[in-house]
Formats: sequence, structure tokens, C-alpha cells
Amino acid sequence: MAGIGPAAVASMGTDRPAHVAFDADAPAVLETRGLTLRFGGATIVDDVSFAVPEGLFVSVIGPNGAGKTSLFNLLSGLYRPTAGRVLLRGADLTPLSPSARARRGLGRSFQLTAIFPGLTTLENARLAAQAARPGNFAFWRGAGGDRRATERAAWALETVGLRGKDAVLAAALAHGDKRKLDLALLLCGEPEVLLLDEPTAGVSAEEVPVMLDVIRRIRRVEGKTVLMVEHKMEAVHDLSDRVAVLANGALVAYGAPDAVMADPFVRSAYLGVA
Amino acid sequence: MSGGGRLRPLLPVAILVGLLAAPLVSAPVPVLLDGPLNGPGNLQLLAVGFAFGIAALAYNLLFGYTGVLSFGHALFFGAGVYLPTIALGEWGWGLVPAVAFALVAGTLLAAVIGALALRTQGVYFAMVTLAFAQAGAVLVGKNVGGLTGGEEGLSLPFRRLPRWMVGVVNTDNLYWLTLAVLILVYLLSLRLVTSPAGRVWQGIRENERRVEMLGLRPYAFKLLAFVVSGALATVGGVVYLFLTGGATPRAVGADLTVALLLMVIIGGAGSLWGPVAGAVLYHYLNVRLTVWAGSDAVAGLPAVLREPLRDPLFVFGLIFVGLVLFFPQGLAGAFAGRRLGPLRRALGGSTPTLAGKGGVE
Repeated sequence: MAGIGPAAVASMGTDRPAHVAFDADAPAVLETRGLTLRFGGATIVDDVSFAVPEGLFVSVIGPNGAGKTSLFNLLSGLYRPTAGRVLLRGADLTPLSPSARARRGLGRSFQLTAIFPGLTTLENARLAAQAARPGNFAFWRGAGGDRRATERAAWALETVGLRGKDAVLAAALAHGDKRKLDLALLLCGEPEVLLLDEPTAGVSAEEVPVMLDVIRRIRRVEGKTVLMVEHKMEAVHDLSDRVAVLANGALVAYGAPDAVMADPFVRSAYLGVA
Repeated sequence: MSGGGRLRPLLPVAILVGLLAAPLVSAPVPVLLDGPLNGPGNLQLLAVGFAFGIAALAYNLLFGYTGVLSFGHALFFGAGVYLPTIALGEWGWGLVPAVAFALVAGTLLAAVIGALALRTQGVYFAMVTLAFAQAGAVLVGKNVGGLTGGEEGLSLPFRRLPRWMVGVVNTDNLYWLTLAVLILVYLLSLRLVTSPAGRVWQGIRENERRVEMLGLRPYAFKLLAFVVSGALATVGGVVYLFLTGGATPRAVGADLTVALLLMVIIGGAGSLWGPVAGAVLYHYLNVRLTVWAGSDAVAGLPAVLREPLRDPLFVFGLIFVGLVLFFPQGLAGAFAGRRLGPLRRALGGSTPTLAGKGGVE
């Protein structure tokens, strides 16, 4: 089942499977086992098991309400699963808080931009870079002395194309720039795995290619493992090594983009093609 | 560094020199003050304003920089007022141990209350801190253990103090002492808000959830802010005690907490000199309006105007509404035109672009 190709597609027809495993022989960085979330009687995430190999870019697609953001909330620790586990390099993250997971290298961006509106762009990034390094509790020395944090912040702003807007208040940035800043904050933390929740959400049509360029650059330069929720199919097709399809909370397909998108079940269930 | 003219960096120095020299200046300040500037009454008025300034700086670290609204800070100020008085008068301690005891106790009190109260958020946090402070106020008011003097309060046992601290003739010494402590607390606050921890505080104020997602525990940083803020409020209480020569239940009351909040808002939350200016202005208005309310000018007015104007709080309320309407970011915002505080969000998207580096340093 290794490698990219039609064989890697796990398509389950209309009967959803209880368990899906894939890329079985590649070492997994991020892995879930039987991840399930129920609110009352509703099953939001249904027994999802997958393993993301090192350095791959995986897009999670599915109709609205399929459980994509809930899955991300389970991965980043904002929700506690009803059942199942989340593993990072084999270590169990399930009992850990969001901040503890972030310290372990799991970085998360949000569908709704999460920045520090009253700080400047550079201060935003410097805080994120500082947070990833020791000595945050130091209250007796100046913060400006941490040159590595400052350099990291400048680099992250450069990578997302915000250099030159250092002194602008984050609140005053255009929406697209806020999304870029959100990504820069993520990069400052030097995460091993990036979880991007709809990075182009709310970005204007002209800005979308710019945003995708930024993501492509992050991917190429950094070689990070990325999980992305996205609705724009061209972006998914263009960026992804693997595509995972969620429907009603369950993982219904996983594989190379071409293969997944050619899969008849996915086409009928999600892409709306008969 | 921002613009604003080449003389601007000299302004704080000029103000500082002026304040240090005030006890030596016997010239009158017409309209604003009665009699010569260095008259004991005027020095006392300024110095008590400075003592509130210390407490306002402390409150500002928590409210203005960390975005945490406490309704119980009078408790720590009150600890600074009552504990040295009790230690000196009841237990017969020396001045230094009594003050040291108050500072340690105020800090520990802040650590315990902060650790509990910060388990809650927002309004609930404010209510829990208020509950602790009210419990303290009740203990003091009911004279539990016979230590606090109840509603009457306690007066400072002057015989146990060095002579340079006692009496109207030594008001200038106390003035300088208070100013020196204020300067120290100001410099300490400056160091704190520009430190790594201080940056995390501002991050929490702006977006606590994001700080958490950066891998930090907001609780620990908020507790640090609470403890430092409580300890410095205790310092303000100690200095206030020496100026006023006694402890009264007002020093632990909820009114004082509200006053601290008003001082910080008037001055500009999230700025350093703003809350100090706000505290001095607040105390000045409080005292002067009381004098003015009893004056002949007010007594001669028709009853419709006379009765409300006789209450200093009424006039102060009008001034406060005006200040908040026209300077929503406080005095500091009015002067700098670019300060940011918890009140900034109320302004919506009209936030100006910064010309310089740090807007909140």
C-alpha cells in the first residue's frame, strides 16, 4: 500500500469501514487510532484512523459538516475525544493540553484568524518565536535581547511576504495579510507538523494565489509535514501528496489526489458528480 | 522612538526635576493650589497622589497589560496599610521588619488569591476577587481579633518611627520618600512590560487562546502578573500609610478598587505614565472638588444646581464621562495619539498605524 498511486486509494463504497490504515510501511509522524467524538447522540468524528508520513502534505476534504474542523480540534487538543488516540512520532498526545501539544511540535492555524490585534506585525511574530524558546518567564531582563527570536520572527515574516510591514498594527492589516500573519506565527514556533484550517478562507479572489504561493513556499523551503483543510479543489490538487476525504465524520477515502478524485464514491459523495 | 519634536525626550526629565524640586519652591500656584507650592498641605496632596500612582501602576500591570480585571485590589493596598500598623503598634516590631512583613504577607496573599481566582475567567474572576476583598473588608470592619480597630481604624504609633518621618514639618521628607518609591516602581514596571514575560502578558490581553496555542500556559503568566501586581499594590499601601499616619477601613474597601480602575482608565490603560497621571489627577479632583463644593460660590447657586454640585462625586462623574468620551484611551492616548489598551477594541477598526517600533512599551 506504499507509494502514490491508485493502489493507495482506500475506497469503501457506501458501507463505511470501521478502520482504515494506509501508507502502512512509511514511518508516521502524526497518527490517529480510532479517533471518535460524540456530542450527545450525534457522532461528529467517527472512528478515524490514519497515519501521515514524514514530510507529506495531506489535504482533508469533505462536505460542510463532515467533521473536518472537529478532527483538527481533536488533533490540536481543543476537544477531548470520546474514544481513540492521537500520536506524534509514536508518543501519545491524547491526554495533553493544546499548549503541551504545541510544545511537542504540533502547530495549528485557525479558520478564523487568530493574531494579536493590538501588537505590531513584528511584535506578533516575535512573541510567537519567543514562545517556542526557553525563558518566557524571565521578567527581569529585556525581551529585545533574544536575537534568535527576533531573527526567526523576521524570517517568518519574510517567508509569508509581510516584510516591510513590521511596524503596522496587526488590527490594521488587510484580511489577506492577517491570514499571512497567522501563518507566520505558526512558522515562528518551528512546528514539526502544521495543521492549516482553511488558510484561504475569506481571502479575496486575487489574494488566493498569493496565499497558496506562501503555503507552497513553506512546504518547499521547510519540508514540513502538513495537514490542511481546504475547499478549493485546485489548491488541494496542486499542493497535496495525499487527500483524505471525510463524510459524516468518517474517513471514506485516502490516497494520491488524482486517484482520490477519480474515485467514483468520492465523486458522488463529495464532488457531486454522478 | 517616535517623533513629536526633539525636545520630547527631555519632557519626562523636566517633569521629574520639577517634582523633585517642589518642596523647595515657595512660589504660589494660583487657582490650582492654595498657598505656596511647598506648603505641607500641597505636598501632602501630591504625595498621596503618588501613593495612589504606585497602586495604579500595579493595577495597570494586571488590567492594562495582561487584560485581567480584578475587583479586589484594595485588599493588597489595605494589607500594606494595616499590617505595618499592627506589627508596629500591637506587636512592638521595628519599622523595617514591620514593612518587610507587610510586603511578604501581601505577596503571599496575592499568590493564594490569584491561584484560586485565576481558575475562573472574565466576570467570574472579577466576582471571586471581589468576594475575597469584601471578606477582608468585613474582617477589618468588624475588628476581628481586636487588631484592626474596627470602623475607627488605627493610628500609626509615631513613637516607633524615626523622627524624620513624623510631623507636619517633615512632610517634605515623606514627599521625597514617596516620589522615590514611585520612581522605583515605575522603572520596575518598565522592565516588567518589556521583558519576555511582559510580552506574553500583552499577548494574553490581545488573544489568550492564541498564546495557549503557541505552547504557553496563560494561567502561569496571569498568576505572575497577579502576584507582582498585588505585591506592588501593597507597596503603595505602605507608602500611603506613612503619609496619612493611620489605617482606616476605606483602604480595604471596594470603593478603592473602583478608584484604582478609574485612575488607570483616566490615565490610559497599557501605558506607564498615564495611570500615574490619572492617579494624581483623581486624588487632586477628589480633594479639590470637596473644597469647592463647600465654597460660597456653590452655596450661592439655585438649589437645582447647588445640591448636585455639593457632592464632589457628581462633578467628578461628569468630568469622568467627558474624559472617557473624548479621550477613550486616557490621558496617555490623548497625548501620544497611538496608545493601545483594553479599551482599544471599543474603537473598532479605526486603530492607527504605528510609526515607530513598539506601541505598548
